[in-house]
Amino acid sequence: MSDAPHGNLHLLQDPEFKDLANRKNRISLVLTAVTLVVYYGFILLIAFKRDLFASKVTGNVTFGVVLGIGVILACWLLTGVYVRWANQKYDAMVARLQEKAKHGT
Amino acid sequence: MGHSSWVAVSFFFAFVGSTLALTYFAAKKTKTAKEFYAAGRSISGFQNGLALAGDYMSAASFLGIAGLVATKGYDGLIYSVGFLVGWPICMFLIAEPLRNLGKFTFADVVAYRLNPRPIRTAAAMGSILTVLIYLTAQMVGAGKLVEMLFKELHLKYIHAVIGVGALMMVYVLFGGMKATTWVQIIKAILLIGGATVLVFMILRHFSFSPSALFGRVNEEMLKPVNKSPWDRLSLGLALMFGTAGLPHILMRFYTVPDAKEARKSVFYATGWIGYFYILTFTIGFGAAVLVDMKTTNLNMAAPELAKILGGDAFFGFLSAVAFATILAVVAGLALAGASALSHDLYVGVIKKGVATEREQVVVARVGTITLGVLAVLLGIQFEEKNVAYLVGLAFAVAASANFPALLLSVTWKKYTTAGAVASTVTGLVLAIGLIILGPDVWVKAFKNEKPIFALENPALISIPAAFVAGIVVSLLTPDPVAQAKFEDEKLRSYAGIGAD
Repeated sequence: MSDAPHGNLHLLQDPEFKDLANRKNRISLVLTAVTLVVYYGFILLIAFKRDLFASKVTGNVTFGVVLGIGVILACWLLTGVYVRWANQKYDAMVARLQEKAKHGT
Repeated sequence: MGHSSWVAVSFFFAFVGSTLALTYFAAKKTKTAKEFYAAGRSISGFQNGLALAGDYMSAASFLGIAGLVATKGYDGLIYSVGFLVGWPICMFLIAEPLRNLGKFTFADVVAYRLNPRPIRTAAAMGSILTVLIYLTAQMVGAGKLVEMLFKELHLKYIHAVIGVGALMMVYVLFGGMKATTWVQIIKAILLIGGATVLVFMILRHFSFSPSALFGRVNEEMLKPVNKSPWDRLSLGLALMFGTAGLPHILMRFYTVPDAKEARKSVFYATGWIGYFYILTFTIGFGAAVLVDMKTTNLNMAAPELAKILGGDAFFGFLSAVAFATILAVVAGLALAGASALSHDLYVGVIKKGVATEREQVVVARVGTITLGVLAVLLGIQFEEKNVAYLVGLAFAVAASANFPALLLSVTWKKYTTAGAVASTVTGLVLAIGLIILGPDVWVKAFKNEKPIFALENPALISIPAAFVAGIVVSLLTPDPVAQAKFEDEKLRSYAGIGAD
């Protein structure tokens, strides 16, 4: 196991690292909160509004079917939002910090 | 022997033959612990996404959900949605720190800045119990499937269970993670393809009008069953937080080279798995309309539907796909269980972290055999349980014993060794204890009048209790050394500096 972090503890004070950690925490928390709201909204409807699930949306396709598929798609899209952010922002910041760690600056 | 059996048998042999060939080639490259547990970190994000899908979509997803929807209607689909929602949670909270901090198992992460021996002992217990319950569910599914398929051959449930156990051991013993990965990738493609064809045939039966299909479903079946909101919430919590605590899933993150690939693999996995669960809406209600569940085993609705729509050949094909599904999952589970026994317990606890490569691989193989034998025995004991239900319990244990300990260790500076052990033990004991005192074991199995604990799933109590125990005990046992190490852990966890 590599013990590289020990030589790089000064990076903890680096504004770039602090910025990286803050941004990562913020986006993780916001996206987790959105996932929780979507899913527990679904669970609460199941628990308290069960008759709603059999109501028809188009033709005989019911609200329950549309909602369930909607929750699945929403989850996938949320992971997509995170990946997009990480590819555009996070990776570049990580690369810069790893470069600094390598050169010991 | 009937036509269906011939198709199924040839398909079995094709699948088993090709995966054994893969195992043979993988065996040549499986000499070190890194190769055995993590496929030498050589798997790409895309490949790992498919392998994660193959590792995750088990007998519960295919056989169990279809059977539940066919008998109870919308209730079964609550599992479809619940099994997926854990993936974004896994991505946002766990994936990158897990990959950056660990080596082979999630216990590596929890032990990173704490006292490794107590941590690894507790984490290994959580892993092994989760794996054993999950394995039992898969064995039951496999046994029923083979029994139904080979009625003419008089092949019995018990033979099937032993056969699956033996094959699983061969994949893992010789091919390690590399063979397991490819078995899982092939299976994911087969399952997603097979389910897509099944949905096509269901829709064709209804002249490609979903409206015509849902019009035939009994209205009560389209609603969730009237259950207590607490039961709903409890199962919901178990499914959502269980995924991020499943040892065989977490272990797959170490097969990719870095955190970026780990993140990519979750995105691909979520896409594949989500697509499959969307298909279960049509498969489940198709079975509810077309299959007579009075004469069909609870776990056999999907293969029976294939028989009605596509005749014996398609039935044989789909049964073989279901069988491949189970094999890929049990291989992943056996590997995860073996890593907990050997990497965490033997190397981490007994040998205090010092063991030769050869020793590590030998012990991992002994662990695999131990788990295989246990799984076969448990599969024989629990023959009559729905597999989705059993997997729901495994999720409850994973969400209570493993997830809180892992999440606290990557996010909370004041976490201590005693706190981590308290969290794991509390989650584990409460999850298992409340299942035993609950309606399914206490009433149905032990024949008592009333359950001592009213909920079917313990997660509502056991997850919060595990967090509270972890936090309270940590605050009572402050550990300045671990707090200082959290700072250096941050560099590695956020930026991958020094990651293995």
